[in-house]
Amino acid sequence: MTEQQPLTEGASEVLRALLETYGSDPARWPVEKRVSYAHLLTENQFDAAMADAQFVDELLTLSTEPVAIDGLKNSIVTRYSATVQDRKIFPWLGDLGRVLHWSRLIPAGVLASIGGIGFVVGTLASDIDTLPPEYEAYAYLEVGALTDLVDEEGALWDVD
Amino acid sequence: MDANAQSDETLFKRAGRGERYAAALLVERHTDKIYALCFRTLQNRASAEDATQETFLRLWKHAAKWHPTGAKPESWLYRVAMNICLDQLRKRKREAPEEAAPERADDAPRQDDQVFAREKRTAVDAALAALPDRQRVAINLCHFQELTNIEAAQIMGVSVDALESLLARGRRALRDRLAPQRTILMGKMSDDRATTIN
Repeated sequence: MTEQQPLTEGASEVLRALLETYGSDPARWPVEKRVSYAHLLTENQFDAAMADAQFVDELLTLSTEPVAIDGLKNSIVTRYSATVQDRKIFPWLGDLGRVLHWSRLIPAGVLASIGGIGFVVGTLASDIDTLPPEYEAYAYLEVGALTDLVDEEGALWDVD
Repeated sequence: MDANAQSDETLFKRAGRGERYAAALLVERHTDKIYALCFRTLQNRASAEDATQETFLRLWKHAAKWHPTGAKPESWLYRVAMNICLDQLRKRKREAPEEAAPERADDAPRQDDQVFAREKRTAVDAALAALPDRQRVAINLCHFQELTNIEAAQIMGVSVDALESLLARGRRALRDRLAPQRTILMGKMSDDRATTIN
């Protein structure tokens, strides 16, 4: 809610900050601040701050007013035509740019790297010898005999 | 519907579809403001023209894909222009880090009014040029381009508080720098206001 603020120490600080930030013309202040504080400008105690703000405003008014040369607009429109022409001749360039965008390339690169590492590891692992004979022997144990042993003694290791 | 009454959004889309007339309207509507922002930020006519062209070139490239995300098209243009200018300034500083300090106006009063006016303007321009880049951009956007503090903050990618801090520090630096010439600068100031330089 915005309403006119009474003259307090806090309001004085806000007003000085407004003058220093936005200048002496309340029309340049944020609307709600203008409504709340502009009426306080009539107070004498703000004369110095007001004069400082006016000085800076005058300085800014004094700075060089930039005016674009006439040819600039034509030049920009000409470049537009060239850009559109390029788009018509090489329409696939835009699509290629989207396909090769970094946001797609990075995940694709990560996946490709993981695949490559997997391939190398797999190739190297193929040289490992087959399992030793004592492990192969377990394949001949009967599953039924094993479960009986566990039921009777509660421990598989009593087989011996 | 009158073409001039078309919104920037519509013109962006039409320019993106390759309609030269829409592009020309956008150029007519925004070039002066973009150029002014670039000139006041870069303090150099040729660089400002390059930056303005580059801003529109980026618009032409993105117009076809542009869709509203809350920001006004004009704000988008300002933001692009500001980034291009700040890039140029960074590049300039890398290439010439020990640039000579901007000239200050002579305190002695002059008889010739035109020379006097030009020197005052030179002094103010030099003081503006000496400001840190972001303070200068903040003053450009709020004072010269007359954007609201919220719009300027969005363009600069900062909070409103940060923008206000930049503005206050910039204006204070300007005041302090030119305070010694205050009496001279304030004299005949109203006579100089209408003077512009192409």
